[in-house]
Amino acid sequence: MIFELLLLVATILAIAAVEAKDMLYAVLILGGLDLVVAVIFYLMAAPDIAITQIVVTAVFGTFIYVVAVNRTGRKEGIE
Amino acid sequence: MDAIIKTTTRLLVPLIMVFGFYVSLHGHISPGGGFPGGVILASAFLLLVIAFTEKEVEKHFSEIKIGDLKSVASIALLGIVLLEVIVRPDILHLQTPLTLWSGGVTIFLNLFGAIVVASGLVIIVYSLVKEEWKSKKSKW
Repeated sequence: MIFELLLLVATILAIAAVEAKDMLYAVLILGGLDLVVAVIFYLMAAPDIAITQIVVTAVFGTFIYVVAVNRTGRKEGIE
Repeated sequence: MDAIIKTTTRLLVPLIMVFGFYVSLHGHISPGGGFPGGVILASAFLLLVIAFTEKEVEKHFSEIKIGDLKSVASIALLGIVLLEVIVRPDILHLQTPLTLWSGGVTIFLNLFGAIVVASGLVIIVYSLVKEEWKSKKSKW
């Protein structure tokens, strides 16, 4: 039950990250999506992959995306 | 950044580093290993870079020293592998199974691999953030 609920939450977060107009909010929603995916990996008996998912994607990926957003601009489609 | 973030960073950075060494040293008996432990060690530096200014960070970390650390740890990793291949030290007799001191030389491989990964990621983060510090209109 909780597994299907987490899959639903992950899908909703992925759609929200694509649809967000502000790039910084999209990056933060993507970080939340990575945490949910890490919990899904843990429930599927792969704690090693869950640790790597949290540490690499949710921490370093978010940092690199924030640096990229800081250089290119927050609004979508406006130069 | 303000005083709350600086104080929290001063408290959290040693704990994050201890947790990174814990994950990398227990890599052969529990989930984790050299790579996640090294990235946790580097994320402590990430928090430091976000909270403090350029001078305060460079007082404790210099990029050349971290590059030297990466080279030394890489040579140590190569030395351990060559020691295993050439000399074949039989240290499994000295160890007790299912404890921390088990698994041959895997614990040293995990430790030096964590140091290599951490110093490489610190160099990447440092070169990214230095560009942000250089540009005047940046918010950092």
